Amino acid sequence: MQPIIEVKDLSRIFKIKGKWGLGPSKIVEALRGISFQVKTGEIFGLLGPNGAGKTTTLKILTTLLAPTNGQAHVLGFNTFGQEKQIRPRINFIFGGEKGFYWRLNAVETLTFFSDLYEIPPAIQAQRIPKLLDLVGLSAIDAKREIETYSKGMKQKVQIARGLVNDPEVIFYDEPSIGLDPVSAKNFREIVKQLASRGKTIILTTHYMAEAEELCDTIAVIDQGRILTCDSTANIVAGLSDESATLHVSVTALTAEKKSVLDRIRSEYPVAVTPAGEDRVDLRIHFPSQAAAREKSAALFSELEALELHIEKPTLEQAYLNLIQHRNPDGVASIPNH
Amino acid sequence: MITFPTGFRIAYSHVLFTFRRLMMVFILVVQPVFFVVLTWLIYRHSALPNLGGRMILSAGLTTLWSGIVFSSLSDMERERMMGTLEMVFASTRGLLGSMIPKVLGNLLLCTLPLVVIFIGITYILRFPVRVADPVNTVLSGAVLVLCLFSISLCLSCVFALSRQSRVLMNAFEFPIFTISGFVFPVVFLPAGLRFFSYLSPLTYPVQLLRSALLGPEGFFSWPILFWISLGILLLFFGLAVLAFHRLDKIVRLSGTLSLN
Repeated sequence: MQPIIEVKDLSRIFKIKGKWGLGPSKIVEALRGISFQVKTGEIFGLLGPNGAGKTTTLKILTTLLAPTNGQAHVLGFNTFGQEKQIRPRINFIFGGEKGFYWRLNAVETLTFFSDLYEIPPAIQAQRIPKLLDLVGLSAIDAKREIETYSKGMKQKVQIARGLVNDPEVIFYDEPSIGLDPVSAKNFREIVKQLASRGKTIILTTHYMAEAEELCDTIAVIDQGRILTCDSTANIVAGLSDESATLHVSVTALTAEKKSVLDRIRSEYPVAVTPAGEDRVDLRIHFPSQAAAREKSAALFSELEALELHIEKPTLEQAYLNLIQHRNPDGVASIPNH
Repeated sequence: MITFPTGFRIAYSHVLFTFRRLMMVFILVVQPVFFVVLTWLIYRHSALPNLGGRMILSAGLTTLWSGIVFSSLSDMERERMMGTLEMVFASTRGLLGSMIPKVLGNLLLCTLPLVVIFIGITYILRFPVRVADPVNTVLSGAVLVLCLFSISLCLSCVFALSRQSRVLMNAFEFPIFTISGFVFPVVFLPAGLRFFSYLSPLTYPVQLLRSALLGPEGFFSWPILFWISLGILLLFFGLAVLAFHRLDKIVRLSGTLSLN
C-alpha cells in the first residue's frame, strides 16, 4: 500500500537567541535525521520522553514548521512548499487547555473553524451536530461558553474541531493528557471509530497502555533519533526483556507461607501488596520466562494460591527497556526485531 | 436562507468573541468618553473655529487607531497566547484570509465608540459641528479607514513574526498620535518635529480628513493629499499581501509561531 506519510532523513535545528537578539544563541538539534512511513488508515504512534522530538515531528508534518534538512511528504505533497495542497485535507489537535476562543461556545467554535476551512454552510449545518454527537457533547452544553467547560469537555470540543474539515489524516499530540479515565476511554473509542472509517491517525502519547491499545505501528523516538519503528506487537514481543513476573494471589499469610516467602525472597525480588481483608498479592520477579514457569507449579501448592499467572509483557516494559538501554548518543543498543 | 460570504461569517464570529470580553465594554464605551473629556480639556478655552469638528476629529481618530490598528495587533498577540494562531495559520484560509475579516470586524466594532463620541460632543457638551466639504469628508473618511485597515494588516504581520513587537507598539503609539496630526494639525508642530510628520504614512490620510472636515490647514491641498493617501493605501495593502505570503515561510523556518 502506498504510504500516506513519508519522512526521510528529517532534521530540525532551532537557534534560540538571547533576549532581544543579544547574548549568545543556543543551538538545539530537535530532530537528527529521522525516517519512517505511515500507511493509509493506520494508527501510528510516536512515543518518547519529553523533548525527544515528537511535537517537532508533528509540527513539520502539519505544515507548521520547516525542516532544516530532509523531507516530509503528507498525501504525496512536500510539507514545506506544497502546504496549500495538504492543509485542507489534514487537521491536528495539540493536548492541554490551549487552542480555544474561551468566550465562544462549542457550536460557535466549530462554525468558526469550519469557515476557516471554507466548509459550505449547508455542510456545516449537517456536520456540526454529528460531530457534537460523536464526542458526546449535549446540545445544552454546546451552547455554553467554553470558559465554563471541564477539561474533558474542552478536549471533546478539540476532537470535534479537528474533524470539521473531514480530514484524511489527523494528528494528535498528547490528546489524553490530564483526562480522567472515562474521558480518556471515550477518546480511545473515538480514535478507533475514526480509524475504522479509513482515517489515518498519528498520535503522540506518554500513556503506554493507550498506545498499546490503539496503535498499529509505533516509532520510539529519543534525542531526535528513532530508536525503533515496528508494529506494536513486534515491539512488545521483541523488546521486552527475558525477565518475567509471576503474579500470585494468596489468602492471609500464615507462618508456613511466610517461611516459603522468605525462601523465595532470598532468591528473587518479591513485592507484597495487600489486596483486601484476607488476601495478599505477590509479584515475584524471575530473570527468565523459563524460571518463572519452572517454579510456578511448586509455588502454587506451597502458598495455597488462589490464583497464579505469568504477567504478559507490555509495551511499557518494552519501552522502558529500550529507553534504559540506549547509549548516550540516543542509539538503542537493543537490536530492532 | 441568506448565506453570507465566508469572510463576513468569520468577521461575525470575531465580533461575537470580541464583544463578550469585559475589556471591550471599556474600549467601546468608557474609552471614547475619556477621549471626549480629554479633547474637551484641550479645546475648551480655544479660540479656534469649529471646535466641535476638531474635538470629533481628535477623539474619533484616536478611537479609530485604537479600534482598528491596536485591536488588530492585540488580536494577533491574543491568538498566540491562546494557542489558536497555529490552527488559524494551518487552515485552508490561512493567516491573511482570517486577519482581513478580523480587521473588518474591528472596523465594525469601531462604529459604536464613534457614535458615543458624536453624541458626547454634539448633544451632551453641545459643541456644534460644521463640515466644510461633506462629499470630500465622506471620501476622506473612507480612504483613511482603508489606510488604517492596510497598515493594521502590515503591522499584524510584524506581530506574527516577533513576540516583542508589543513593547515597540506601546512605545510608538503616542509619538505617532503627535506627529501624524491625530490630536492637532501637524502645522502646529515645531519645524524640527514636522520632518517626522512628512515621514509618517499616517499623516497624509489624517490630514486628508482634517482638511475635508475643517477646511485647509496649511499642509498640502486636499487633491494632493488624496492622491498621496491613495498611494499609501495601495502600497500598504500590497505590502501586507506580500508580507503575509513571505510570513508563511519565515515563521516556519524560524519556528516562532507558537509560544512553546
